[in-house]
Amino acid sequence: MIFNIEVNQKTIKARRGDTILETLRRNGITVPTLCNMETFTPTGACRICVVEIEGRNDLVPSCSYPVEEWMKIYTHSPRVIHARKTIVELLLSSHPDDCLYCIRNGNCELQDLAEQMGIRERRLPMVKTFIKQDPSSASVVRDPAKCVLCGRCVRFCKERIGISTFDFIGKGMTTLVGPTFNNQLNVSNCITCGQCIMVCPTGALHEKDNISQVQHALQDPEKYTVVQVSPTVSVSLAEEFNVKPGRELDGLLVATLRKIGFRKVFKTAFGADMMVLQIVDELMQRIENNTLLPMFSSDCPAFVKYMEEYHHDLLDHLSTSKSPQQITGNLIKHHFARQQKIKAENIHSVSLMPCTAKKFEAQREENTHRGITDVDTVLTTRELARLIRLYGLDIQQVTPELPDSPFAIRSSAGKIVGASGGVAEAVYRTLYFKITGKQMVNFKVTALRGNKAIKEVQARIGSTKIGFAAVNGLANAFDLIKKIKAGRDDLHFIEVMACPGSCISGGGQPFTKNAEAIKARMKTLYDIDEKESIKVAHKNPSVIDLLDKYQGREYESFRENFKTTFRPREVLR
Amino acid sequence: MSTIKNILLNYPTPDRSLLLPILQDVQCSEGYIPADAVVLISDYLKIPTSKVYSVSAFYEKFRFTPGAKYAICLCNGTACHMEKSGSLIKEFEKQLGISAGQITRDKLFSLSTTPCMGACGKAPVVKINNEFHTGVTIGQVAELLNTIKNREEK
Repeated sequence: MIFNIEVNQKTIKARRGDTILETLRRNGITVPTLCNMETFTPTGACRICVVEIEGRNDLVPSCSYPVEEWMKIYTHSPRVIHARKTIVELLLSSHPDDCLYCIRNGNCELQDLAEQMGIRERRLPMVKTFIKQDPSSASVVRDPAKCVLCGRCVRFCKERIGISTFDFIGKGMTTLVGPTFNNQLNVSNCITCGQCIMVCPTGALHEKDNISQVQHALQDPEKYTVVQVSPTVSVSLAEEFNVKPGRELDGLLVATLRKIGFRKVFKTAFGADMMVLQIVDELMQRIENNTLLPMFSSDCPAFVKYMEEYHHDLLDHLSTSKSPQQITGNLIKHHFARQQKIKAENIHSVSLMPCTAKKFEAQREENTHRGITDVDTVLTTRELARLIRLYGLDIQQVTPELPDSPFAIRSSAGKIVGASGGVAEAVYRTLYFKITGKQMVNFKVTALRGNKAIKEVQARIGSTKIGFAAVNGLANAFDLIKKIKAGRDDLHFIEVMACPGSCISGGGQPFTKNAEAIKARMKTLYDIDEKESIKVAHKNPSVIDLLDKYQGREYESFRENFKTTFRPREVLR
Repeated sequence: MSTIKNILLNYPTPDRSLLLPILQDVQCSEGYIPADAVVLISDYLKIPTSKVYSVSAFYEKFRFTPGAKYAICLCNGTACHMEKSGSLIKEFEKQLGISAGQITRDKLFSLSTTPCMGACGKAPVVKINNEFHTGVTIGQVAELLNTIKNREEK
């Protein structure tokens, strides 16, 4: 039902059942918020969004108060502004004054609020909090001193990821947000997806910064520093440099990376093509023997960690293929090193990822052989932007360059793996060819595209019926996994990506509150797929070349390099 | 472990609203909330451990380390304060070698203060486990502690 209310002495339309904040936003009236997250249950924790309602003595939090017909609302009356300002001043009174040294300097919501409220002096005495950082996790650093207790990470981890690593601990002035027993993150059930970083308004949660490692490697004359670029980094990096969201920076990025000093620039999408072949071979074998079905994708390290923590009985169902990052990393340290006659230990292999969990994956023991790690350092998109700024480069002023062989060419199937449903679609295309011996007429699998939580398609390939599913947002996978444990058997391949929206909105991507930006990133991926001629992994000429180099038993052992293992992890769930 | 499992048996239908009663039972029977209990409760009620810990860390009553065998609790309310409970606390701290809020190394005594026990007429009041001692003077502190120590040695 639609009715009129009065806001700031103007009549606007409101819908029954909406909150005041939703009504205001729909009518273009901005009210500052801190703890509020759209599409989440409101908590009314921070009270920044208070408004004055005529006839009521108290100010009400607009995020959690339903709109009613009789209301006359003032969103920026002196009383409201005073209250908001005081709240921010109170938050600042227990917040460390180290903005200049903070990782979020320049894109911090608390900083923005202080600026908006026009806070120019410290009116309230500073209460110093001495709580140490927790740098134990390979991916996420927790800095409780900077926490404003908005609870956004708590809610996101619970409602979208379904893991509930964080919760409030204690009460009053000493409240903390932390894992069970206030343990360190590396021994908690955290799956390192980094979505808590994406919702954290301050620097209380941030990615582990590995830039200095890369700088050292670049300066070391003994080191041969190479870099691989994930297909999703080049479509999101633009936003860090105020370029239109979704702009593909492919060649520009390659040129910039060379200017920074990387000796070779490779494409992770090459590894993605290899992974698709690996998955298809394994999937065909499993379908033939009718064992270990459905098969789960294993390229999302956060999902893999989740399975290792929660579903020990399903570990065999994960695809044994390594992720594109680790396949490319392994090829660099072994195949490429041999080819170029460089010692593997002298190569410093950097990987640019949209993801914090990849930092965790790179240091898993399965990915180190005889003391040589396949990937030495992983940088997220945000760190990459910082690195480019550090070297004073303007990414728009360079001439596009091509990446280096042997890992330069990719199929567009290797590109779309960054979008939700992309891996499933890439597998679909190659599997179709392997079973029928024919190419698909139209490569587009529409049913697996888009941002729906769970996408399923039952495909008839040749004479076999094969079920594909793609899930994004880990919490959405719980029901499906439960059904599979209960005996659901019409699915053969399930792609699970822990982050809602998959890699294009991963935990290492630029901070954005703009849902359109994420859509633009996805659109770019599919546009590229539309335009390009090689749309299937098995037609990638470099991959074919590489595999042709090995014959017989050598071929078998070469393919073994792309396999990995999983092990159960005992953590506090 | 088995006592906690027995406690859970008293609650045949798992429901998240049972979290507090179960925690209270565990605190009562064990004297603290062991880490294992948090895990068992979370498994049973299908609540993440972080939530179980969060709820139990909110309440002062729940503790996560075993308490002392003899919990000495001194009243520091207005009436007791006027009757020199301050120096009484200092005397206990001196004799036990710990400060209020701590526990002795042999886990025999713990020392804490409380705002009021409601026995202001008989100030100052000292509570040792569930035994109340009223009108305690500094001279009686050694005697009180020695009686317990002697009892323990036997």
